[in-house]
Amino acid sequence: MEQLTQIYDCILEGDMAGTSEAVQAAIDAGLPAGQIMNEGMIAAMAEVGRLFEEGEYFVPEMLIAARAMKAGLALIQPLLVDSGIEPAGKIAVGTVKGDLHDIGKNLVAMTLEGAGFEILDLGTDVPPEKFIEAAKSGVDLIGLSALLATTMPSMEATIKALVAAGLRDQVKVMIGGAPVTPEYAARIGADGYAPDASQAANLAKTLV
Amino acid sequence: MNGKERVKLAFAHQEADRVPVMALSIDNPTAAHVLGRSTLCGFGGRVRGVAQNQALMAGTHHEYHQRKLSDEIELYCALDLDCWGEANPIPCNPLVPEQVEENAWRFSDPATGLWQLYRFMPESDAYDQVDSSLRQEGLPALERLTESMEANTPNLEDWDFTFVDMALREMGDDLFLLAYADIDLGSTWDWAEHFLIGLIQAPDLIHRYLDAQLRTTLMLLEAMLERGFDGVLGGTDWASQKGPMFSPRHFNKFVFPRLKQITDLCHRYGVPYIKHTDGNVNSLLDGMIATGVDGFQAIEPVAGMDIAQIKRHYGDRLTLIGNVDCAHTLVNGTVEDVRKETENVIRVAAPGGGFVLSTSNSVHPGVKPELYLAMLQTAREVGTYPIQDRNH
Repeated sequence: MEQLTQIYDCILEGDMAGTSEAVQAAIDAGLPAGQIMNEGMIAAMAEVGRLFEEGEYFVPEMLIAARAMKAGLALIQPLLVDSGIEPAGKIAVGTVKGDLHDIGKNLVAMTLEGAGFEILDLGTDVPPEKFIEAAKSGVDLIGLSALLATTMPSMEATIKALVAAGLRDQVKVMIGGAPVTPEYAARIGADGYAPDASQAANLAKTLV
Repeated sequence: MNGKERVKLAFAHQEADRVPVMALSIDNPTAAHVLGRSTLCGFGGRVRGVAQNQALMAGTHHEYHQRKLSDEIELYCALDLDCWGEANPIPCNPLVPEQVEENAWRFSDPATGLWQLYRFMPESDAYDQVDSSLRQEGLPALERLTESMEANTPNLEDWDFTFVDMALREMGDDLFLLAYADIDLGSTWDWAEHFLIGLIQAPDLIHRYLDAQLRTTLMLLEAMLERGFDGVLGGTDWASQKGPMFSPRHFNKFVFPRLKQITDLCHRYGVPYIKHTDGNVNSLLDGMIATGVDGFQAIEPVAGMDIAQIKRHYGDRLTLIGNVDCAHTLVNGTVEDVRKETENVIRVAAPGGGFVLSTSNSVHPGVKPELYLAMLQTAREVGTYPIQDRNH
């Protein structure tokens, strides 16, 4: 369908205005909200993720695509709610206690949203207690980000806090960031490790 | 042979008496451990943020810089390192922050109305810009900043070289001294998203911003080279674990032509240019060399950078500086882990010269002092030339 192709192309090119126009055109044409979301927007962001993993797209291209997607999402969100269409899952993301870096975490949040998840962004310098609150509120997955070797221990502390609160079985945990490795993720009992935003979205789909 | 001579030979791709050793910075607690007291060494938040801001607010920033330099000199002599690179001119009239919270300071420029908020994190000893006009307002604020820079001609009279000259007097005979110059990219700041989007959606503004910055950078660099600095280091990070923050095409468009102006200036004075960057920059190495970069520091193993492979492919053109892992080995490893890794790095990268030992970034607050000292001790034990080559 022409409108879906238009949405797809505009998101891929990072054309925010074009995406909004195309989404509105699709709505006006009577396309179901779920179809617009899945076949237009999520499909486009999946392609953006693939291009990022292939090394053809970089952070700037992902950012403008994510912004375009967000513009379209603002139009489609009310219709999704009215249709009773649920997000793919709910994910809390945050940079751990002691760490103020957020671009990695923000990029992950954008790609997760682009994959159809509802995001609870807890910000930076997030203590374990706040992640526990998020777990109690019913998130399916927690994403922990750290950019410094000195703040990585906060990841382990957060997982231990979830265990102590009796919530570990209710929520999955994935981690990422510059000093983080798959071995570290396994050692601290995380459910998964993602080296970049695109793979974080892929991982989230398998965990939720 | 002294440190200066060793590092010069390294950049000439010749072997010295032993492998030279440098550090991007040595922070507390390692510095405090070595000197047996609190210090103003390095780049940690308590030093660069808390102490410096307190000094600025009290009008004692000259005393701060005096003490900082004295501590650095004492530290580097105690460790018998070969290279030092923390001398920079300071503004004659620095912005004085307002302390807005116990660990947060706001800097406001009355000329432009632009502001930045910095926060100190005691748990990690980090000190970062966490908010700013640029972050809040994006490209319109960048336009205001750029216009302001374009309207003002950089003036050497606005800069104080007291501590640069002191460093040269105290260490210039024996140590290889580095000045600092780089292309300051917004991608490493709190407003990174706006900068990165600007590469695509506002390229002309990004070009103007980078050019305006470069005018001051080149002016200060020439003044440092005139004073006789031995080399120049640039420390802007270009990449994450996955790869460059933006495409090689954008590096070719925005970064390399400007970096070449810096390296050309260095080479006019006969000194090498060292590029530090975190992350995986394998796709940028050819571009770096073509731009005139002479040395590459960090070479992060955790980001997939393989010093043995880089030595084989680029070792005749690029002096390698690294790469004992400071993300894990020097933080959580054992002395035996450190000794083994240090020896391996030396044996694959040192033969033939063109190598200076360092960690894979700095000696940051998470590095355990005893592990860093084990690295240095290993360097003394196995780093005497000729060195058995493990890389062929």
